[in-house]
Amino acid sequence: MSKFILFEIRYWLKKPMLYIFFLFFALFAFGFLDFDFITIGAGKGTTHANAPLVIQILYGAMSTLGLIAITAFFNATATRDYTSGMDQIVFASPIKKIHFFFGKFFGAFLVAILSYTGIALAALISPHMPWVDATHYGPFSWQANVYGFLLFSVFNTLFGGAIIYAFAIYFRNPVLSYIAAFGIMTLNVISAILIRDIENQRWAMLIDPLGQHAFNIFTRYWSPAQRNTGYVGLSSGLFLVNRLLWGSIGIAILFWIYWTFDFTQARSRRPKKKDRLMSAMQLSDARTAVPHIEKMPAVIPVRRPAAAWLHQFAFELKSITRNNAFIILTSIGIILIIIGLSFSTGNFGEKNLPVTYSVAELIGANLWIFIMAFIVFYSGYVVFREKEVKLDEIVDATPISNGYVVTTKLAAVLTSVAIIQLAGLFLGLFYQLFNGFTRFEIGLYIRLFAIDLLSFAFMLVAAYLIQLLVNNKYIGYFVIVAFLIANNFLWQAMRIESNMVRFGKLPTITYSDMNGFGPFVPGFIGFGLYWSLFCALLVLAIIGMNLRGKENGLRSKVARLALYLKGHLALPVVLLALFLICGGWLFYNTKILNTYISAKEKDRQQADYEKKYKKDEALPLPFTTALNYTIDLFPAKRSLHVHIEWWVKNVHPTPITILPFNMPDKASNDTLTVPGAVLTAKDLPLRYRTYTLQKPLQPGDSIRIAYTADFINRGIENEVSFTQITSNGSFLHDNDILPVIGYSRQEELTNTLDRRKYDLPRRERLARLSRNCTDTCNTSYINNSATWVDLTTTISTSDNQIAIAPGSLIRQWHEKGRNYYTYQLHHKALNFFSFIAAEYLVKKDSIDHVAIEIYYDRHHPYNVDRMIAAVKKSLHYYTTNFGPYYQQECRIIEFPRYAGFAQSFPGTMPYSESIGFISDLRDTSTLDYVTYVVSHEMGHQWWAHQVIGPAMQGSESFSEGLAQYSALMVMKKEYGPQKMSRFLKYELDNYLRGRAQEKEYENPLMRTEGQSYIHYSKASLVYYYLQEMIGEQQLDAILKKIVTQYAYTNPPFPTAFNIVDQLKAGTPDSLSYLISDMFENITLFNNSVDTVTVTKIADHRFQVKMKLLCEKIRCDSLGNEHNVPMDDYIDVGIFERNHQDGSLLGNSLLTRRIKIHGDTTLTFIVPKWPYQVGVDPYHYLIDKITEDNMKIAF
Amino acid sequence: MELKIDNINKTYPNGVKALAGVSLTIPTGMYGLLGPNGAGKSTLMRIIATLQEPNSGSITLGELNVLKDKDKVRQMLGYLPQEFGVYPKTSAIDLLNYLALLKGIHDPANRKDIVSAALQKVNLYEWRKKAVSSFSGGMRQRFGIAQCLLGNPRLIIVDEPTAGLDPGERNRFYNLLSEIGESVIVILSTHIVQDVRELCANMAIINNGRVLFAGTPDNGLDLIRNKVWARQVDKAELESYKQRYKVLSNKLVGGRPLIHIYSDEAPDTSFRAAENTLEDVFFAKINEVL
Repeated sequence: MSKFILFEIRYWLKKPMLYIFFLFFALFAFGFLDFDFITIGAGKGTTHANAPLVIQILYGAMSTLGLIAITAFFNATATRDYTSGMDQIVFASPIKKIHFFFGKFFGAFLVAILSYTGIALAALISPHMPWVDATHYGPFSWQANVYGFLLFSVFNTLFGGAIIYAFAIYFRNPVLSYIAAFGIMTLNVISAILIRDIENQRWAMLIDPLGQHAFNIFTRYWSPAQRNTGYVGLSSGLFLVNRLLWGSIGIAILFWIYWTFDFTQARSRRPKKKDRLMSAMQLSDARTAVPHIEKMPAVIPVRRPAAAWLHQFAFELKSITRNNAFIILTSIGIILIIIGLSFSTGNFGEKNLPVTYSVAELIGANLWIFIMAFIVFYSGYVVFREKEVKLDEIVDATPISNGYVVTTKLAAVLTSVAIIQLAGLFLGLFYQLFNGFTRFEIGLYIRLFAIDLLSFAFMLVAAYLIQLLVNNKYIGYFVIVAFLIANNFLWQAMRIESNMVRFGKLPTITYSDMNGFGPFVPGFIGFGLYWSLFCALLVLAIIGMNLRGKENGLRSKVARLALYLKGHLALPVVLLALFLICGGWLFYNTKILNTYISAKEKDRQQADYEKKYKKDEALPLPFTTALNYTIDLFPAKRSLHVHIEWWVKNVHPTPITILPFNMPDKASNDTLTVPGAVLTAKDLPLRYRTYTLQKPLQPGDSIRIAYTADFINRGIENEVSFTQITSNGSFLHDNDILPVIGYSRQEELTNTLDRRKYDLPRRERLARLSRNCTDTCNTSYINNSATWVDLTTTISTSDNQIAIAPGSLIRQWHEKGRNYYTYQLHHKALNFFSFIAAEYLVKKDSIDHVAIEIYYDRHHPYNVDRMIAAVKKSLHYYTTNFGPYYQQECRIIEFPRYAGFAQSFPGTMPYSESIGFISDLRDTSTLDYVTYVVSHEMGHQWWAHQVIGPAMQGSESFSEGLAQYSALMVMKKEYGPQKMSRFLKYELDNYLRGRAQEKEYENPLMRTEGQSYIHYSKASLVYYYLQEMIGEQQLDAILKKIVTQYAYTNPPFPTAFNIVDQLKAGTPDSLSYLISDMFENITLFNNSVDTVTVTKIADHRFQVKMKLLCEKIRCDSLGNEHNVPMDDYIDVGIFERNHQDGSLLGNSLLTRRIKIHGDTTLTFIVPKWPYQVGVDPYHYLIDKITEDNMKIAF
Repeated sequence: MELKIDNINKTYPNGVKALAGVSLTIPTGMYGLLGPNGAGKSTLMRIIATLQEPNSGSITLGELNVLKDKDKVRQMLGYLPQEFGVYPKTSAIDLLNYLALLKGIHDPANRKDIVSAALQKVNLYEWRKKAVSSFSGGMRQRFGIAQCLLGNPRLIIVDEPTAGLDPGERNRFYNLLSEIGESVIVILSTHIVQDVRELCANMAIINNGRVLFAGTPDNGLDLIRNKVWARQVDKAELESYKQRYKVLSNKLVGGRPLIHIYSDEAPDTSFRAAENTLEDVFFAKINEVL
């Protein structure tokens, strides 16, 4: 056997393929490790660029790409004897089957895994490159490399190689082994779809044949500290199981094929019936007499170019689709779609109604990589088809023009792709029908798929050209993939963002039910035309260079091209001219008429801003006291005109002389009138103006500033940048249209590494939490130059739209074909406003003198009633338990899905069309996401709009955190503790994942600074836990006190200290450790059930003995953990079986809250047979592994 | 119309010099290109069939510049390569239809007629709906001829067409070819001397890329008339005979070599006059005796 192994190795060592793959992997790994434009497993932050975990993720990612290498090596090795025709000679010689079969396999195996060592090489040298920031790298971890190599490269090569090899040897047809490779890739994609919902994660971990998703799940909670030092070795739970499982499957298949493989039946694998028919035909033919010879009919010299083209196209198409391979591949595509549709849930397991755009986008996304692989594969197929069957000489000698040959082949592949998309369309329709949704919009499916098809067409042309130039199918595949990847990443690396440069790049399009393709149409047409013209030129080049005959060197290709151009000059010249005109026009539109700056340029601008103007941060700023907006919207033109009157007052003890302003982006014809002031500095690129008051503004005095501006969208942009106004669905924030006064800290660069690059000092995310906060506490974190303001708005729009601003509607009229509205706030509010207009239907209701209005798009009436009900429920709970509501209306307003959030303004809550409005709530077992979000935004009417903290650590923990809490309390009434715990599991997952991806340092809850995984997710868990421990009523009473004390307060604004003090005051001493653990520190638990024994005792009762392992852990900001003594009240519970829903607990036989100090054994007696036993059954505590809290008793 | 080949040279990128200064004039009718394996015949055929470029030289077909006007040549060309394969699972009539389409026969009814006639001419009509990939060797060659005939070509090139055919099939094949060859240029390349003798009015002998003889078979025979002598010898003596005489060929008859030698006069009485065959001309040229 060793002879075979050695032969294989020697064979491959002489071929370029091994070295190409080695280089490929090495370069790729190097690119990932040394350049920060692609990040995997870590941001540019505290996790090292070459952290052991990152290295292992790299091995995982490469082994997916490595499927190509595996297919190449094992396929070639397996079929070499057959394809060269040597098989009969080889098999007639005295070799043992076992040596032959396994020898070749191991030979190929050793060679294939050798190519992965390129990654180790890259890992070794990447930190030492002169251009890297050395602090971002850690030491070389040989364990990470060894285990990464073993667990990914070795196992995946074993599994993938076994499959490919087995298929290729058994079926003697390389095509089937390609399909097997497709199948592996599909399983990988399916596993990616499944892991999105944490309920499915265990299955997803097992289904993933290449292991990277299983790996990601296994390590999803690893903090930066753990990522920098830890690595995944052999004790890796379900991940290891996955590896062993797929490794065994590979070996099993290999052995199975070995038993069934037979040398002797090598040739005649055709079924016997066909054999008989064939020989009958041949015999009969031999006996036939010499025929009567007649003259051939003359050729009628008519030219029917169109019909001929169609016939040839039909032939090419049939050759693709009548193949078993195509049918199998389409089936795989269909399976992918079905799985993608079935598991399309959101972050919290919530489902949306299957509106056409979301179904089409889902299908498109799931099919994307599959179709790209399809195109790559079939580009090779059509280019080399004739040569591979050896019909090329006959075909090439016919007078058929290259134009026909190339265009029919391209059209055939593209049509096959369209067939798969069509299958997707039918599946989509079926899925919609199956879910009881009948607004089908077939035209929209077609348009969305056609947009994808255009991109696919571009890629197909590129692939065809590459195959033609490389003239070798395998290497061609490889080069195409490399090109696609480079085209994706290289431009980003060079920070070039122009869609004119990255091949085939079309500007992003977001379809909205409200607005259709709206603002994205001009860009799509412009760039679509541009790249289509370019690809047309490429097609002409392909036609010119197309191989006819045997001269396939580069020089003859160029010569052929020159000859072709000489003979057909008109079309290329015309296309080139059109292309240049189109390019010129696009250049003018995207770089002169409209400009954009690259991300790198944006960073530099931010650095400049800080360097030049940080000194102005110390300037005293006048506070806004009242605003009067006049806004005229022109939706059809996508422009607007604003005029704003702005009263500001000097609230400081010193006079104010200097007033800096940050002007809005995209404003034109703007004038800023500051009475008694002159413009002393104007920085156009940074949009910073400085005014000097000739008569300084004295303490207590006010002035009225006026600002007028137009916001106009013209022509085509590289990417649409101002979706705030569209033809149906405009959503403006005040800082979109009003200058911001004073130095704006938000403009600074936040990433630590970026700051170092530009020599900027260390930056705090927010001011440190402190009790003595002087100036910082004089404003809220919403606005550093206002407290509470009055607002009047007059807003107008076209006559088929309604416009809304915060406040009560005090006047409404119609003039010159436009609708006018005047709104005024009933009570002063935070200086944080939005202005919205669209074609709406309105549903109105009221509760306790508060008007409830839902403004929705006519396509989305589904959940309007539920929203009204949710407003009523939350309003009722909050006014009862927190305090009064001071505005006169609650409005929920739909806006297009260009943004995917909901926000809360005084009395006005805009909602994205993709949240809530299309939620599918028919399945009552899923979370009522609509009520949840409505309640959260309503909660903000107290938490933020009445009680708000300063720009300091911890302020968001009570404005966002308590909004979360409020929503949870509204939900709790509906759902009960078990369903709440299932929901909170998602929040726990969000928190743990968020802290694993923290780029700087994690903070305790009361010091959170812009860390949404803390102020949303952790806060939910903490406040819910707190109300469980001290009682909902008690917590609500504390909150009521907070509202009474701090609502609409004058400065100083309450800090997290003030809030936590109140919480401490309301918490009994025995539970005060909760505040310390949950708010002041970062605390985690590790609770699990070790063993459970149940013994039956007298009178049908049962004694349950449970051994619990409990640990309490404190973490530092980087995630380093240490155990602390435990003295906590924790629930333990014994439950019956739940026969209706196996995923929930059954009836409680016993629940106790007891003080636990660590590992402990407890004994209880219950009246019925217990099913599940354990600790913290409702998951109140933050525990990294929730599955081991409860155990099933046997 | 005649095909004029003028000083064609072809060296492959790996250094092999396939054709060196080849010049031929090929009139209408059957033309045999005779040479051993590796002589350069296929290369020459491919160059004429517009599939390969020579390094230098020119070829004209009537008024047409073959090397420059490839498209025009292809419109009147029928080419049967030495080795060809077919798309799997495609029937004879479908594949012929496709090739007829590629050859520019656009009218569907016309195309149907032509394909039908071609199938009948090569006696494959009965099997037209069967997959070509299931044909026997002979049937496949006939299919090759059928596709060659599509579009009434004026220049037909068949490269080693009878390799692998049994004698019956070879016969039928020749009948077909000779009937075609009456009004078009048919270039037939082969290493079987018999084929040329039977079919071709004109011929050339090629070896190592050079033309060793061009003319009619009779011209060739004239060169050796009465100059070939035969004798049967012992295996042990073979070497000494090779040194003493110009041995053209040796064949085993009943286990002992029968040699043909070239000599102006009878060497001695042990030799008898051999029948003048084209084979001797061939060997004489190949072995550079003449």
